This record gives sequence, C-alpha cells and structure tokens, in this order.
Amino acid sequence: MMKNRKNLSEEVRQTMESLDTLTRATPGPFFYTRLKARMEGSQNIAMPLWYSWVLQPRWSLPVITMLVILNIGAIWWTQNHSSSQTSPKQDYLESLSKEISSGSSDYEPFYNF
Amino acid sequence: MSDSLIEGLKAGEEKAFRQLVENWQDRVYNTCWGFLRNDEDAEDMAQEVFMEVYRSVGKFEAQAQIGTWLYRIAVNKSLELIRSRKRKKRFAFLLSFSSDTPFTEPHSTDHPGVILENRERAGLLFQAMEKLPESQRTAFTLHKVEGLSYVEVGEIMHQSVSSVESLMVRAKKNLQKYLADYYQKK
Repeated sequence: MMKNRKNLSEEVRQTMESLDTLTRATPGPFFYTRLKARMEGSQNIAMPLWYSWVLQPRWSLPVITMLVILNIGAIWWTQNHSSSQTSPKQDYLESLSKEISSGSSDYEPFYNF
Repeated sequence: MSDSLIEGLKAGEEKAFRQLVENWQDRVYNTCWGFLRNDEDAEDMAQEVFMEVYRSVGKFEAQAQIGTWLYRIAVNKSLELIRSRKRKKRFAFLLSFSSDTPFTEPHSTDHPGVILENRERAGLLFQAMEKLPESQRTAFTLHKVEGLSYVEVGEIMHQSVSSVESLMVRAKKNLQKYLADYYQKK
C-alpha cells in the first residue's frame, strides 16, 4: 500500500516535470509567405459586414425561429378573424353578386330578336 | 522593438510587418500550440494573430510592449476558439440542421518540442491542462510551455505577480489531482 502510494506520487511528479525540458514548437518554413497569401485571399473575398451575420448560426437561427413563429401567429390570426367577421368590402361584393344573380332572369340581350 | 519598426507598422510598410512576423512567429506559434494542441490549428491561429496585428496596429500604444500585446492577442484568440468549440460541441445536434459539415473534435498531436522519452507523459499533462479553469490554464501554459517569467505572465494577464503565483499553485494542485486520479484508475 505504502509502496503503491510512493509509486503514484512518483508517476505524478515525473509527469508534472515532463514539460521542463520542452523546446519551443516552430511553424513550418515559409510561414510569412503563407500568411501573406492568406491575407491577400481574405481581402479578395471580404464579405460586407451587414451581410456576414446571415451565415452565423447564432444569429440566423433565432431570426429564422422568430420568422416561423410570426408566420404561424399570422396564419392563426387570419383564420380566427376571417371566420367570425366579414369586412365591408366582402359585404359589398356579396350584395353585388346577389343583385346580379337575381336580375339575370329578367335580362334580355338586345340581339335576342 | 524599435520605435521605427512600430512607426513602419503603423504606416503599413510591408518590410516592418515582415520583420515583426519573423521575430515573433515562433513565440506566437508555440503559445497557440500550448492551447490548441495540434500543428494545423496552431498555424491557423498564429496567422490570425498577425492578421489582427496588421488590422489593429493603429490602436497600439507606444508605451506598451509589443510582445505583451502579441501574447495577449494569441491567448485571447486561442481561448475564443476553445470556447466556441465547446459551445459547438454542446449544440452539435442543433447545429447539424443548419450546417452541412458536422462538428468534429480536432485531433491532438504531440508537442514537437518534447523529448521522445517524455512524449506520453507530456501528452497526458496537456490533456489534464484542458480541465483547468481558463486563468489557471493561461498562467500555466505561458509559464511552462512558453517559458515566460511570472512578471511577464502577469503583464499579459493584467495580474500582479502574487496573483500569478497563486494561479500557478492552484493549477499545479489541480493537475496533480487529475493525474493522481488517472494513475489510480489505470
């Protein structure tokens, strides 16, 4: 048990010291050339700021969700209101159609000799 | 870093920018590697750091150390990427509806500067460092991976030397705990 604990602390100590001899990692050769190419490329395809948010899910998802909710709300509202009430325009159209259909039997065209 | 170089950078001179990149590319790359743990991400991030420097050098105050500024950008950008990956991982399912490319965990590699006999242990230590809180992880990475003094770490993190010491003590304690757990389970 004692030996195990000693082994464990020795393992931890050695692992903690494993970075003591670390030398710096370096990028591959021609780093500047690659950087320059990327900078030139990004300038060519730079997207206007007002448009770039569309491609970010954290902005586009809530906007799409809100649009869907608004659409559902609009459909629900129009269905509920159109069944209970009729607009003056609809009343006028209905009366006009009645008037035309009721008078249709009396109507005789002038070419009917 | 001479004033003329900073003036050259502010004037958008390519020669000055090239000199800055060549002087600092290894340090910036190594710092990014310490956080991101693979060559590809470290290269990408180091490039982004210099692009950010190029864009915002006008805001740089002459009294400040350019090295401190570069390290700060490297740390902040690396941590931002780590945070965004964590968020993406959490919402991977939701994002799969809006994105064509599924979220994949980046592949970690061995630090190129670790001697062969320490590779396994160093890999384990880097893995344990990922579990540390951000401030402890930053202090530990800058000190142990990049080899900066507590004073330099403090300047980069806007902290006093005693705060950095305290962060390092807590980081070491936490790492020892994670490693002890690992070896016990092994």
